Amino acid sequence: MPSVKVENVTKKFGGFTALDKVNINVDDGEYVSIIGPSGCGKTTLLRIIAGIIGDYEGHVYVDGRLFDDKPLEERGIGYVFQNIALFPNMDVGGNVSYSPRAKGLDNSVVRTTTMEMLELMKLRERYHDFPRSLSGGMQQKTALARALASSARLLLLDEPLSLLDLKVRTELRYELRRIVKDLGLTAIHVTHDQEEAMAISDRIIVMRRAQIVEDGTPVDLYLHPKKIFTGYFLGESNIFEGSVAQADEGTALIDLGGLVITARNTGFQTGEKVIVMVRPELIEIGGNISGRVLKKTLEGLFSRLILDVKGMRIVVKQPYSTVAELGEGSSVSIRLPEEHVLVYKHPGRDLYSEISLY
Amino acid sequence: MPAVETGKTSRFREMRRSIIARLDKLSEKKTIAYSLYLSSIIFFLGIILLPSLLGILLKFDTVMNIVSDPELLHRSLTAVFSSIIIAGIVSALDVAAGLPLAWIIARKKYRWLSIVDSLVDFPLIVPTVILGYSTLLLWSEETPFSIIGFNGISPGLITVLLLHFAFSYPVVVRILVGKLMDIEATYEVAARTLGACPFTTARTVTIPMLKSGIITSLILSFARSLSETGATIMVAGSFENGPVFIKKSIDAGMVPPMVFVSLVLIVLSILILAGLRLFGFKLRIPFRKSHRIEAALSSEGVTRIRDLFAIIIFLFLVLLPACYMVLARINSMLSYDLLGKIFTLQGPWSTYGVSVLNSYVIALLTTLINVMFSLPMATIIVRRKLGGFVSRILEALSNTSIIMPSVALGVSLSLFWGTSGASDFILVLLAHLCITYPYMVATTVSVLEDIPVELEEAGRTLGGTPFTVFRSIVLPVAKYSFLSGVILTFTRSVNETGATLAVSKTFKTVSVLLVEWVKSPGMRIEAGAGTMMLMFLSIVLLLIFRYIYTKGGGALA
Ligand SMILES: Nc1ncnc2c1ncn2[C@@H]1O[C@H](COP(=O)(O)OP(=O)(O)OP(=O)(O)O)[C@@H](O)[C@H]1O
Ligand SMILES: [Mg+2]
Repeated sequence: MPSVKVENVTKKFGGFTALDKVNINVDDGEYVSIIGPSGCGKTTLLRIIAGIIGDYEGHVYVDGRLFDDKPLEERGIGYVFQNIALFPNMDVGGNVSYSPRAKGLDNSVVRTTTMEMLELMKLRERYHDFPRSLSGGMQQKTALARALASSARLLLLDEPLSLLDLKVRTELRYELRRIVKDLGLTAIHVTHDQEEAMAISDRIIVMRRAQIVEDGTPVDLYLHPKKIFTGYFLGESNIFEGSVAQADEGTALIDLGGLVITARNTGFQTGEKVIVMVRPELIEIGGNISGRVLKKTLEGLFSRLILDVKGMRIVVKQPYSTVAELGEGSSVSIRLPEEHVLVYKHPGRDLYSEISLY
Repeated sequence: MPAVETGKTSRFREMRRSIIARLDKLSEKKTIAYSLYLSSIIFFLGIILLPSLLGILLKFDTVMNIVSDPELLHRSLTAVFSSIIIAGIVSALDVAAGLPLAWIIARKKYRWLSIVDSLVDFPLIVPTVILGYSTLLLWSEETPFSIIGFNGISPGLITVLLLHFAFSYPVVVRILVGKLMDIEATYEVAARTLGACPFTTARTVTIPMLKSGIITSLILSFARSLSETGATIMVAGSFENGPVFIKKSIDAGMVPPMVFVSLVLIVLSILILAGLRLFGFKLRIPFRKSHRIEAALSSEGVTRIRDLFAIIIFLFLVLLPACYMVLARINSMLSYDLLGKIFTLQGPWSTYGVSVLNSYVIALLTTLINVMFSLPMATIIVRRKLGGFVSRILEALSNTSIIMPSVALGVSLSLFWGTSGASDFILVLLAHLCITYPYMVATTVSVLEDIPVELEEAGRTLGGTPFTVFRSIVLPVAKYSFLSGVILTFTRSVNETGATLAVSKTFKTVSVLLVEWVKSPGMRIEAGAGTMMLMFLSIVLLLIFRYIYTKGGGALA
C-alpha cells in the first residue's frame, strides 16, 4: 500500500531550478492532483518520483522506504507519459500487455489483464492497430491501459486525459477515480484542467515556479484559498486592491476605491493595504451595489456577466434562468456576501507579480 | 575591431539567409523536385552503376570459359563460397560485438566516452592495405603476444577473418551509435517503468527500433567484406576468397575469373541483401519470458563484464591492429626526427604533404557531391516516389559498387573512364564517388525510414517548403545518423587505394602513397610515421567537424 513522501527535493538543470525545496505527502489510497502553470515543474516532480530523473537534492520515500537509489523497474509505478510514448514497434495489444509480459507472468494472466484493460478503455477492436494509426485520444487511452495493466499500486499520470474529447474525458475521469478507489491504489495526477482536478481528486496541490504554493481539498482550495495565487489560478476570481477603511471586531469595511464592501475581519488594522478576492459564482443578484451589464455570455447553464460598478469591472456568474432578463446595458444590483469576500494582506509588491503565472 | 567582426558575421548571415530563401522558393516547385529526382537517378546510373559494371558487361562472353572448365569452375565457386561465408560471419560478429560498444557510447554518460567515440574512427582512417600489413605484423609476423606464449598464426583464413572484422567494425559502430543517439530515450524509460529490466527493455523496445540501423550495418559490412582486395591479399597466405582469386588470375593475365566471380558475387549478394531487407524487417524478436535470466543479465555485475568485454574486443581486435604498425615502429620513429622532417617537408615528406592535401580535397568533394545526390535518391527509395518496385531495385543496385571486388571495380572504372581524356584528378574523384556512394545512400535511407511521414507533413502544413522541412525537421531529428553517413563517406575516401590506383598512376592520394611506402622495404619507418600523422590530422579534422556540426544544431545553417 503506497504512500509517497517527497522531502525537500531540489532539481537543477544546469543553472535553471526546475524544483525548489519541494515537499509533498500523499497518503496511501489518496487521489491527488497537481495543477500549475506550464513549466512549473509538474512533470519533473513525477519523473523524480518515478526514478526517471536522478541527481537531485532531497529524498523520495514510498511507504516510508527510501527510494532514491531504487531502479525504476522495481518501483512498481504505473506512469502515463505526457508525450504518451507508446512503443511504435508494437500494436495496441503489444503495448498494453507489455508489462505483464516483461514481468514473465503466465500467458493466461497476460491475456486476461490485457483484455480487461482494453475493455475498460473500449479499445478491443483496436487490438492489432499500431500507435501511428490511432487518433490522439485513442493513443492516450492505450497509454492509460498500458499503465493500469502493470498492476502498479502507485499511478503517476501526466495529463492522461488531455487529448480526449470533453465527453470521454469526463466519463473517463470518474472511471479512473473509481478504479483507483476500488483497487485501493494511490494516484498522483497532473492536469491543466482545474475542473478535472476538482472533480477527480481528494486533494489538490498547486504549484508555481518550481515550488508548491499550497494544497488542500478541492472545496477548501476553491472557497478558502490561503494564497492569492491559488484563488487566481483555480477557477475564476474577481481580484481587487484596496485598503481597510474601518476595522471592527468581527467585520471590516474595505474601500476598493469608491466602492466600500463588508468582509469578515481576520485580524486587519484600519488603513492596512489589502487584496480582496470574490468568486463570480458567489456574488448574488439583488443588493445594494448597483452597476451596469457590459457583456453577457453563456457558459453551459451559467451566464457570465461583466459588470461596470463605479468604474470597476466585476465578473458575476449566475444560473442562466436567474439572469435571463438581463441584457447588455441593463442596470443590475448585486451583493457580495461577507462570508465569501476573501481578504489577504497586501504582498507589498505589485499584484501582477504575485499572480503572474511564470 | 569588434564592430568590424559583427559587420562581417552579419553580412555572412544575410548572405546565408538569402541563399536559404532562394532554395526555399526553388524547392516549392514540383518541376524542381522531379528534376532533382531525375538528376539523382542519372547520376546513379551514369556515374555509379554503369562505370562499375562496365568491365564485366564488356567481357561478359568470357564467362563461358569458366563454366566449361570444371577445375576453374570449382576453384571459382570455392572462392565465392569462402567470400560469402566470411562476409556472413564477419558482419554478424561485427554487429554482435559492435552493439554493446555503440550502446556504451550512446547511452552512458562518462566523460571519457567522447574519446572512445573518436577512437572508433581511427581504423576508418587508416588505409586498408596498411591495416592489412599491421594485422599481419600483429597476429603473425611480429606478434607482441609472444611474451605470453602466443607465437602468431600463419596467414590464412583466421587472419582474413581478423582483418575483415577490424575494418568493418568501425562502420557498424558508427552507424549504430548514430541510430541510438537519434532514438528517444523516452521509450526505454517507459518500458522500465512498466517493469522491464534493462536487458528486456533493450531486447523488446530499443533493438526493434534499431532494426533499420542494424540492417544497414549488416549490409555495409557484408558488402565491404566481399569486395576488399588489397589488404586481404596481404594476410591471406594461400587461402583464396573471391577477390584474392580474381587478383591472382589478373596478375597471371587471366580475365575470365574476374568476370565470372564478380558476376556471381554480385548476383548472390544482391539476393542475400534483398532477402535481409525483406525478412529482416518482418522479423520479430519473440517476446519470450525468461524473466529471471534477463534480470540476471541486467545486474550491475553482468553489465560491467559485458561493457568490459566490448571495450576489450574493440581495443585488441580493432584499435590495436589499426595502430600496431605505428606502435611497432615507435622506437625507430622517435630516433628519426619525425617532426623536424615532416614540418620542413624534407625528402619524401613534400610528396606526402601534397598527397595529404589531394586526399582531403578529394574526400571533401566526394562527400559533398554524394550528400547532394544521395538525398533525393534516398527519398525516392524510402518514400516510393517512383513506385515500390523501382524503389526496391534502385536500393538493391545502389550497393553494387561496394559489393564488386575492388580489383574488378578498378578494371571497370579504368575501362570506362580510361579513354575519356579527363584529368587524373577528375578520374580519381569519379572513382571515389563510386566507392563511397553506397555509404551515404544506405545511411540516408535508414535515416528517412525512421522519420514518420507525419513529421514531415507537420512541417509542410506549418508552411515549410520541402527544403525548409528537410533542413529544420528531418536533419535535426536524424542528426547523428546523418553525421555517421558523412563520416563514413569522408573516411572511406581518405583510405581508399584500389580504385584510385586503377584509374590513375600519377595522381597520388595519401593512402596510395602510404601503401607504396609500406611495400618498399626502405620506407617502412616513413610509412609508419606517415600513417601516424594521417591518423592525427584526420582525427583533428573530424573532431572539428563534429563540433561544428553538433553545435550548429545539425542543420549547418
Ligand atoms: N531535461 C531538461 N533539461 C533542461 N531543462 C529542463 C529539462 N526538463 C525540464 N526542464 C525545464 O524545467 C521546467 C519544468 O519542466 P516540466 O516539464 O516539469 O514542466 P511542467 O510543469 O510539466 O509543464 P507542462 O505543464 O507544460 O507540462 C521547464 O522550464 C523545463 O524547460
Ligand atoms: Mg509536464
